[in-house]
Amino acid sequence: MTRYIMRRLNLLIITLLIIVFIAFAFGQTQHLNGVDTSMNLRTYWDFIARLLSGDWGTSSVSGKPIYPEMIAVLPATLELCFAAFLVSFIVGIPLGSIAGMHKKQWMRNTIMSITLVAHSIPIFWLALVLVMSLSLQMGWFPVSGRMDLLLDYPHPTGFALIDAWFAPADVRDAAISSVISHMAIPTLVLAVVPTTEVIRQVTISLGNVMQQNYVKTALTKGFSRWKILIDHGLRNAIPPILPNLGWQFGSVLTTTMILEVVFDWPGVGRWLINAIYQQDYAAIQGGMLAISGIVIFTTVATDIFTTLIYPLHRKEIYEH
Amino acid sequence: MPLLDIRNLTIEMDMAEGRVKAVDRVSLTINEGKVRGLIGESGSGKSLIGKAIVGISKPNWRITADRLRLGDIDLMNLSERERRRVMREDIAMIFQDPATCLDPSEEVGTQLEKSIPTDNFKGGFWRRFQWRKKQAQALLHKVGIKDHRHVMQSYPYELSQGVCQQVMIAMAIAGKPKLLIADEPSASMDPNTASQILKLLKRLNQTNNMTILLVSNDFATVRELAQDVSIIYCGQIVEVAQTKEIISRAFHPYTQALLDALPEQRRQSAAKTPMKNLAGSVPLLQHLPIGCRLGPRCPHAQKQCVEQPVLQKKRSHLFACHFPLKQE
Repeated sequence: MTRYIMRRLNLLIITLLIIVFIAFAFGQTQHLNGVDTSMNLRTYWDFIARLLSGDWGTSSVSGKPIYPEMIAVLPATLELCFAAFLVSFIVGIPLGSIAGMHKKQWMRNTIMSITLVAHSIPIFWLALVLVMSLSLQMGWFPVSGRMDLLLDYPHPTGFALIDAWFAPADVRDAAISSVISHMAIPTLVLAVVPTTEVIRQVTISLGNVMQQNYVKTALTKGFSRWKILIDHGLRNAIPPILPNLGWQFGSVLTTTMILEVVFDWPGVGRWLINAIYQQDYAAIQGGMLAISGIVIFTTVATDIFTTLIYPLHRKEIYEH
Repeated sequence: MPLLDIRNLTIEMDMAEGRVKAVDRVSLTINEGKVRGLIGESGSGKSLIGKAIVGISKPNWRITADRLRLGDIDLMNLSERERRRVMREDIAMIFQDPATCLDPSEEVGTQLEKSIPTDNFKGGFWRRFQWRKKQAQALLHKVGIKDHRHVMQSYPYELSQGVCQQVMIAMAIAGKPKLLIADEPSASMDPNTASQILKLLKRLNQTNNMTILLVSNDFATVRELAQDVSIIYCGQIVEVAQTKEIISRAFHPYTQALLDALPEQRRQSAAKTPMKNLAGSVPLLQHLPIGCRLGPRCPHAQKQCVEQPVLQKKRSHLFACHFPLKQE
């Protein structure tokens, strides 16, 4: 087990070093990393040391350091991603279970068709349509932004929902409802693609599991299909697909960055696109590093998590 | 009155080639406390009969029977809920490849405890946990596992096939069923483990008076255990008799072929004599020959064999053949 985790962490470190090297090479060509533009181990090591000490360069536009600016915008993006993933699990697992049970063919077909349609809708188009109908025409949700700026309370973590939860009592309720109503549409739009993926994966995986001998054995013991689904089905169907869903995190993060522009969401995507417009290379370099680092870390973390919770996965490791 | 009484059970399947009869008017009875062997090659429909009894069927199956009863319960007309109750309390089934019949993601002990019915336990729910654990240990001891602690904490892939089958049997007898259906319980096991499992089944039959339907593909496993055997070929019963009698004297050529395949028959024959067996293989369900289904493979087949033989009785044997073997 320890050996497996070490191996995964090893992979994580090597991949991070490669990403850092790409950022470093980019920086050297753009003269971002000081006067010495030669590419050798020493300058590379200096670059890593600077990154680790929190010096991620200085913005050529605002003249401020990159690192604190990025830390300020990153939580907004991550919060949206996590919320979308949560929604996709809450919606996707029950629907995928129904489709994977093979109980009613028409139900499965309906779910799969809706999934296909949802998967092929352009996300930014859906976002604009929802904003036009639900926000502008109906007025149910705010058009853009992350929270009501008139409410005054501290933001220690940067995650709006957590900050609102711990806000002073007089503004707490207003803060929470404001954050949720601002988050609702972006989260739903963002959740569409991962939800279809969760449904698809759960359907396939559960379909396989329900044909296994232990499910047949449970049937001969007189358990109902729903009890078997909970007892044997999901506990064997979900863990193997977790790494696949971890892979989805990267594409969700990218989609978030596009949506942030639509919703004027103060996250890393909007920040990065502004940086590109203004040719702020240091910010581009920093943003790229941060995002790819997060994606790689999530992928490795889901892999290790799966191994910890699923005994069969553990067995497969020892076989290799 | 027999415990299990099947009369003219027919299972049809809708396949891409059309509807095929996988099991054709099979009758089978088992008296209480007896073991009946059901012998047939793979694809002969013997496992389907077991599945029809416990009621696991696929949507494209069509099961009909004149009678399918367990004691005084009519298994054909049960609601979903009643059937589940019957399966929980009265029938248990064990399969071949036992390691795949246990949930790979759960400890064996937990699975065993879950299959112990708590209906007859009186006492506080806080005692129930301990009680179940005790019961599980007792069950494991009963099936011959001494190191219960290790087994209960293991995952199925950490145990051998033999131990897994012992656990399966422990789960099966947890509910004190009236009938145990053993579907090739010792297939794909090494001979020593296989004989241990068969010994265990025999002990359950003798000490607990457990009724067993033993499904198998050879005589070697069945003859130790079963008092009676039914031979099935291509979904039809070809011969029924007591085990002792059928081994000493078979009427149907197919039964004789199965007997010829027994190891000691081989041992008796001189070195380098050709092995006796039937030519060809079991026909596909969608290409069944007309008349006697063994016809094309049968060494004694004659013109009359294009007509379907009916089951006839001769000296406590039931067999379906126009030209039963005459033995010296």
